[in-house]
Amino acid sequence: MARKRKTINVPAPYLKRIWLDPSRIADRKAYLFCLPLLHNDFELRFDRAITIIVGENGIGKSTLLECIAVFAGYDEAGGGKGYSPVDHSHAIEAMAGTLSSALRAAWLPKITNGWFRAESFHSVARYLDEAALDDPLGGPPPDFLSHSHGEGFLRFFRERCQKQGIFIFDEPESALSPSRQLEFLKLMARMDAIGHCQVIMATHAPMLMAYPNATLLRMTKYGLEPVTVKQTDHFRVMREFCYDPKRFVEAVFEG
Amino acid sequence: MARRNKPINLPAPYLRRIWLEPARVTDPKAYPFCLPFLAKGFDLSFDRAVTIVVGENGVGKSTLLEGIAALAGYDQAGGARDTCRSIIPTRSMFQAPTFRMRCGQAGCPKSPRVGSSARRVFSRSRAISTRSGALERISSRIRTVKDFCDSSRSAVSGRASICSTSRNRYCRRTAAEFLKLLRRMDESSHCQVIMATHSPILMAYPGAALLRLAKYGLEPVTVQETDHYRVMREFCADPAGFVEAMMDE
Repeated sequence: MARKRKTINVPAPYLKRIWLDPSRIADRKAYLFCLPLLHNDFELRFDRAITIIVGENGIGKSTLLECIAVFAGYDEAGGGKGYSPVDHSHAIEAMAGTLSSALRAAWLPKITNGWFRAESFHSVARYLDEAALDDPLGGPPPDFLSHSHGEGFLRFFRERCQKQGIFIFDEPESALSPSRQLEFLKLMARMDAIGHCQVIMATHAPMLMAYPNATLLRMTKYGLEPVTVKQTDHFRVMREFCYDPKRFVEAVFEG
Repeated sequence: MARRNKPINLPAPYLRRIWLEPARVTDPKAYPFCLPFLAKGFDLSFDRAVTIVVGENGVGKSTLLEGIAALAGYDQAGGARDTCRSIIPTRSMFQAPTFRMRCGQAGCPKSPRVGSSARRVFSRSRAISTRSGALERISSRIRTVKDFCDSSRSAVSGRASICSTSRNRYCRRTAAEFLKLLRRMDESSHCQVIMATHSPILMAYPGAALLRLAKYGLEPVTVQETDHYRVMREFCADPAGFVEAMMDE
């Protein structure tokens, strides 16, 4: 085990590229292959340690992240990755056989440490708390849930982000107030600076999209395209709201 | 069962007031009573159908909501846990058993007049969110919030009171949809909504009582006064400069 955990002296990103291999698609009409992201020429290159994906709900962001998680081996129950017995197992179960078999991935080197799906942080925290309770020889439970949702979340990643790995965040902002989002930005900066963490994140929070050293991609019906924060709908809506909250809400109700 | 679900012709809010009963606090140093906002007593009156609680992470918003949830559903045939779990669908789905028990203790903010109607109401919303929970399990790609909106929409015709930790996990367009939903529930006048959120857009709902939960208790605020809004406005004025400045700190 010790050998496996040794840090490899290659800077992130480790996952270099994922692409679709059309010849491997079993059933074109299956749910997953109806998704816009899965055109025949779907390809995504990672050239920075941090990649941020934005887009409307339902466009397939989470699906893509789940696939990457499958590649990284996070679907294995138990073991070193260890944190799988949570609700995302349902999600992966449904698709691991289909989509990830049609996608290909290029790694340098293959890294399977890390974290998947901050979205389900709470279920994970519960699992960790319970696991610690079940272990008679273990110390006191980490008790992540006694912290509030957002507090526990930040503490949790502060503890873990120092290690080499590929971290996949699906809407990490969900638990965080704007000022905690800033802390999360600093956390990302730290991971970035360490140089052996790859982060792939889907978000709706304009503030997280504004991380300066990231590849920002927008997922639309037609695929992935690079964008700037200011070009995203999320930012525009937020700016409009901040400019005049009352008018904005009135417009919503009129519309 | 049919009798129990009959609507009562009283407009919301149904839950009128909650407060902390000092005599029932078992251990002031233990969670949740150690939360600063409970230190000097706690009293909250509801005068609007929609109440929105804002505050920094960790201040106790969700604990408060869970306390209300437990309070409203506690005497349902052993259903307190379930009720608590489902009333706050996006969060409590993931609650640890220990936490739920604690939030049972948090039932100390005692409401005298959460009458039978409110109980019915909560049992109703339990059904709703159980449904969305099931949906979520079927396909995690259907967003919880969407399920929640859909279910709540159907509940507007019925009678529902929902404590929701709705967060900015969904995109802004959904926030706008949620605003519309809030208004529909508000206009139906038989829905009481108690919500904690970090989304400035939701805070701006015009008919709501907006309260900030801080260390020293609850206080009324306007959207513009919240940190959430201020940070966002500053950010929107100059995203790159703002983030850069923040990270240099």
